[in-house]
Amino acid sequence: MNKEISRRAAAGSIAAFPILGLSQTPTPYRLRALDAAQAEAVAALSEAIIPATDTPGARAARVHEYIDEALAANTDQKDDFLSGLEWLEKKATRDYGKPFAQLESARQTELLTSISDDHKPAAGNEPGAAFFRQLKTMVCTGYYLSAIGLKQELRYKGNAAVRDYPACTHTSHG
Amino acid sequence: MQSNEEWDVCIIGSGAAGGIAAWALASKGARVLVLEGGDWLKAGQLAGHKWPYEFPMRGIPDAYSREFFAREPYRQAGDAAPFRFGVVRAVGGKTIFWSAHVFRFSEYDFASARKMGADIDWPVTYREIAHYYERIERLIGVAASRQNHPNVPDSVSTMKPVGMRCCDREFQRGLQKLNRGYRIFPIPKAINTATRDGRPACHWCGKCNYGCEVNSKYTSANTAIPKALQTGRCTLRTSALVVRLEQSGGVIRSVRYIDAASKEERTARAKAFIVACGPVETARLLLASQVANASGQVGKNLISHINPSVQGYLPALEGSEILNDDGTDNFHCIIPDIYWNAPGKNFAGGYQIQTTGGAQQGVHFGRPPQFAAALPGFGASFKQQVRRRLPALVGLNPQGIMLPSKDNFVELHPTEKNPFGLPVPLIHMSYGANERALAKDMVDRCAEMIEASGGRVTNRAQRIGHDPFHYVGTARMGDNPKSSVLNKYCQSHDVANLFIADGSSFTAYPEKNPTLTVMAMSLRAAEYLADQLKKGNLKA
Repeated sequence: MNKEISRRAAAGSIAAFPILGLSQTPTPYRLRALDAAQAEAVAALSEAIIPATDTPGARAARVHEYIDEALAANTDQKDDFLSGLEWLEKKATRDYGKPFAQLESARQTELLTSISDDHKPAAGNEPGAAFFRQLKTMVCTGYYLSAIGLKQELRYKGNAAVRDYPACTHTSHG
Repeated sequence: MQSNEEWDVCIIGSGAAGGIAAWALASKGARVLVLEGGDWLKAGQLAGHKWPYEFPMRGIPDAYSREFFAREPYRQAGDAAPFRFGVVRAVGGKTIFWSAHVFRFSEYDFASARKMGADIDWPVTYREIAHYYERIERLIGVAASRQNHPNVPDSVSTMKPVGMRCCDREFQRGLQKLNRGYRIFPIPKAINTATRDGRPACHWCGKCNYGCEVNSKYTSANTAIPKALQTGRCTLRTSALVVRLEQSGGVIRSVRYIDAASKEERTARAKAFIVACGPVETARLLLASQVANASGQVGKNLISHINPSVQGYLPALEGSEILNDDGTDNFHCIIPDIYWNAPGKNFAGGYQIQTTGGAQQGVHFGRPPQFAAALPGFGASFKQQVRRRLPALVGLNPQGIMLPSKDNFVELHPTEKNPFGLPVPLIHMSYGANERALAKDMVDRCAEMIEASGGRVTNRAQRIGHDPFHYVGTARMGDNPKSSVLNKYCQSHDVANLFIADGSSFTAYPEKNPTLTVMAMSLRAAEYLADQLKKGNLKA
């Protein structure tokens, strides 16, 4: 059986590093690229892409804050994103009468399905499809490299110190 | 500030080659000065054990960057695809971040420079270097298995090799199915798998390429340099950027260096000099100093490794239990070159293939998790697909030769200088027809192997790509002073007391990783130098 060794013990005298963990009270995040309405839209979109299931979804993983941070750091990316978001909100209002964040789940799914990357977009939906791709890439980065995404959802066991390299547990390998 | 002190040997650079030379010479009683342009790494400076969410923007792109330490510009000529050169200006050099793959070059390799595109032969044979390989392996510690492969000489090793992952066992079955004599076995690594020589056993955190925080992995900074310092005959000056080799009367008398902190220019005098800055900076220093280049070959023959990779997944492993199988960074096993004794039809040379797979393929710190975004759709079913896919990911990373070319070389930038007044290196590097043909075969064979292993290919490299740390050749060794910079002992043909101990000396470049050979050559050069010093032969 593998014995988990404390990283500090194994590492010897590596200086302590202040770590931002889930146990610390987070200071409230201040938006830099998105306004409040846009941030709410992005939170709703992210949650629709990676929803809470048996593990928390993108909203709990604060993916919209990651996206805001990334957009603030890259003007070109931000411009594309905001114009794509605008396209999507126009479609939501035109087709369903409300901004995306206020739509019920089934309508949100319908809208996203029309621009999803699993098919060629219908004529006129190309800007939405491009936005979907950009959004989904950012949502995946924000979610799957978050503590919730890595540890709860993916159950990633790495970046840890163990004494014995684990043997393959698959019986098909003998 | 001028010092009247004269050292026996001044070594420039504390990386793989410089560290070994310092250890060897100090052990033989020489008074050694090592000038290193960078500093010792500070505690907390390595980022590997920190989680992506501990950094802004999930640590992308800069938090885990190894090129953090380069600190000065390099320019590339022309508009070929960017040719990234990794330089690590710190005590230990690139060994801080290396994967510690330690392959000996083979008898065939040393005999086949011309088959690998060089217009001269290696001036040494495997037999002459074998003894030095062994001594280096005993110093650094190697974890390997006995393989008896005719083109991959076994290491001297007392430590068990890294383990084969699930994907490696699937690859093994797939290769057997292909029935073409492909073999697969653990990569020999300079990583302790048992406590050895005061360094602990590896704890399998998977962060070798981010810097080993416990020193299980050999680096020049955790072994060769400390051992050199412990002799009491070696002095290491950090933040000491050498800007000129000063020659008079047919020998190098001194070096000028700049103390990076104070910006003061200083001089160090020695009876002999070893340059080991890495092939780009070594060539730059020689060219800027205008020494040791009667052959005109300094800076020429720049060679690297191409590595167009292929990714996929094994459906049989989808949804399986996530293991902590990160191990020792990306690659655990090697599929050695099959072309060495069965040449390809439309290309020269060959390649080895490094294998990887499992969770760390998908959650590589410092990069976006592309495997997830590449899966179609959204919502709960998409999320489920991503979760199931993670343990099934596999990748094959072929590493193959480039032919030396008159189009690939380092020269001095005509106008631009670095912050210390040295001309910036201007690098000319592009791929030729052989690289394109070889790369196509690499991708085709890797895809075939994944499929033979029951897998599906998700991504074939669209561009050739290269390893940014594997460049060699810019001061090549050879028997003829007209066509080579160094003799078989890494000694300049032109300047008796000048040696080049790093990968600049390579005459040609097989598919194998360079560093073990760099260290063996450096040890041999250092001991030859010590012997020649004693005999009084290094004067003009």
